[in-house]
Amino acid sequence: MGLKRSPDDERLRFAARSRLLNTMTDGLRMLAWALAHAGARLIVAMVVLACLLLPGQSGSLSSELQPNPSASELATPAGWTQQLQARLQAFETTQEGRPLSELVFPALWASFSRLAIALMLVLVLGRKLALLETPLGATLRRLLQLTQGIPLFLASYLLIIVINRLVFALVAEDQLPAWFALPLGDGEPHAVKAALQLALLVLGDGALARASLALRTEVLRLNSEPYVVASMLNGQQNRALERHLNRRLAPLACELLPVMVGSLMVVELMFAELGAGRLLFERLESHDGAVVFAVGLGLLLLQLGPALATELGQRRQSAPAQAAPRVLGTAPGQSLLPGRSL
Amino acid sequence: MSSTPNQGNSTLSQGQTLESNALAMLSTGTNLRLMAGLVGVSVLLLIWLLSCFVAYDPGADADLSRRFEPPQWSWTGDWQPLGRDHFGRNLALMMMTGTGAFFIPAFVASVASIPTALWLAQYPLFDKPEPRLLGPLFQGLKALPDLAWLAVIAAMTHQNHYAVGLTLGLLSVPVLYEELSARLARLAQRGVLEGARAHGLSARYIRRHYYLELEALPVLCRFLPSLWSRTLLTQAALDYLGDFGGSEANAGWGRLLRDLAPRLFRAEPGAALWVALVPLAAIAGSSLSFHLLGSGLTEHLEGRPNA
Repeated sequence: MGLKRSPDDERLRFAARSRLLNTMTDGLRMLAWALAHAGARLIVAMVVLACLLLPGQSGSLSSELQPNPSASELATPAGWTQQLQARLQAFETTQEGRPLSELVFPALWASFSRLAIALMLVLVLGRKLALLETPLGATLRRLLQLTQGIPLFLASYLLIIVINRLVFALVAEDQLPAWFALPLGDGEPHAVKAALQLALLVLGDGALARASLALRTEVLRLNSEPYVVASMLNGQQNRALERHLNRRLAPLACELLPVMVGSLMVVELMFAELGAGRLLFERLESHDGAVVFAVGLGLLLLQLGPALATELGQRRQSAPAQAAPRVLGTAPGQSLLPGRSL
Repeated sequence: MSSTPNQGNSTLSQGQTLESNALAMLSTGTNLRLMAGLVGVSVLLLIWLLSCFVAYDPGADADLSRRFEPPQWSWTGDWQPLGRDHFGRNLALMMMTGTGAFFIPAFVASVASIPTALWLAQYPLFDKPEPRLLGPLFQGLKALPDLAWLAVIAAMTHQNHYAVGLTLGLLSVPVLYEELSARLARLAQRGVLEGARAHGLSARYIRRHYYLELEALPVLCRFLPSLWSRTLLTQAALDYLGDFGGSEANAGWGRLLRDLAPRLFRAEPGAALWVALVPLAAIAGSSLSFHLLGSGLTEHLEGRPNA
């Protein structure tokens, strides 16, 4: 025979269940809101890309795959549907008749791994540079701003010329050293080549300069906030500052991604590496609309994660979220946001 | 409604302001960056205008027996101040005709982006909220890099300069729009627009003086050189990285760089390094000129009494 539950226990249990349900409802609503906002930009980009590639009008990419329909074929709704189906079917395979997944997924994966490493490096280095208070830090940040003016393809070009010339000058042309991964061509993966690519990705188009500038601005703003000052007076050094700086990383990653995707395309083309950027350019040259659309879609979907994180972060700090403390996971009347009370 | 005394005074002060602004813009003073930028851009424009009068066909000029010929400054014989390239084409004339590959898109991009952004960003003037569809639309355009959008358009149109310029202009609209609308919103927030309306100034005058002259002009002076520089670099990158079927006569400096690069990588006999460095120096120098012009103009305009 079990213990008899008191009415108080029942009330507490009911209250806990209600709280859980409310939290879940609010969380799901917040997720849907963030997904809608993050997805909107990707949907717009996808629609524009599809409008450019699908119609098959004169001059478009898909026109070389299929002839333009005659007026009689488009006279009825059934004719329209048939034409659309035919065009969509043409977008399932590459020009050689291979499934898209065989070509696109490995390229996207290669690009993603390259991009993820570079992005993490940019964020880590940018954060370090932003927190550097010494004159060396200021000089480094200024030097990085200068690199923004150099276009990536010219920097890569110069780098390749200099390295080639140096190697040609040092060794005989038919006896290139084993470590030498240049000139261009589908060679074996090599640490020197990978390091050069990573350096160009990190510095290219000013990714690191933008990251360090944005984070430095945030550091200067945070330094005047009372909770950071109080934390420093309590002897916790930069702990509060660093914790609050970390919140800026997800939106920054979202801002940097399109920039770095551009750099990625250039680096992959310059070093002839397998990846989405190189595939996109090669297939644009050969007018393979299906692959172009798939790669474009893949590059857009790569950005969904960071975009979602940014939207969620903004939602957590928005006024409606603060008015509904369950979303923040705090008790009513309290807020996790430092320095603010409801 | 006839003009009030206030409007009469404001028309007079408007005329004075425009005159003083024009004078201020003409006097470069000791602004070295502005002077250097103006000289660089003027030289480029002059070369482009000259190239419009020179009917040069690179295909007809190609002569393999004359490849990598050294420079000749003779005006009576062959005029080739930069020598000849790997196909035996006159490098100076190739470079001259190449200026059209970025000036035409640059002009089209400017014409497409500036009026569009100016028109879209004036909503605070009418006390209206920001159009809701613009945010997702602009963010959508920014979701893919400019190079990807431009490559798609270049492939579709066989690298038509007008289509590339139009796309670049449309991609630049969000940048200009954000800055203009932010400045105008700040002006509205400070109550300047409300005060001007309360003083009986006409909507047309407010738009012209407060929006176009005070807010838009300095922004445009910064934006235009940066747009041109961006056009130059994007066009060169497109030319260098991909072959989208553009004609040889319309080829830009990027393609010349791409054609010359393999000769350097293989250390081809007779190929001088400086031949490949000519387009490289031209791209870098032009980009620097635009940057200097933009930076100099910003410095110059920030010193204006009413800016």
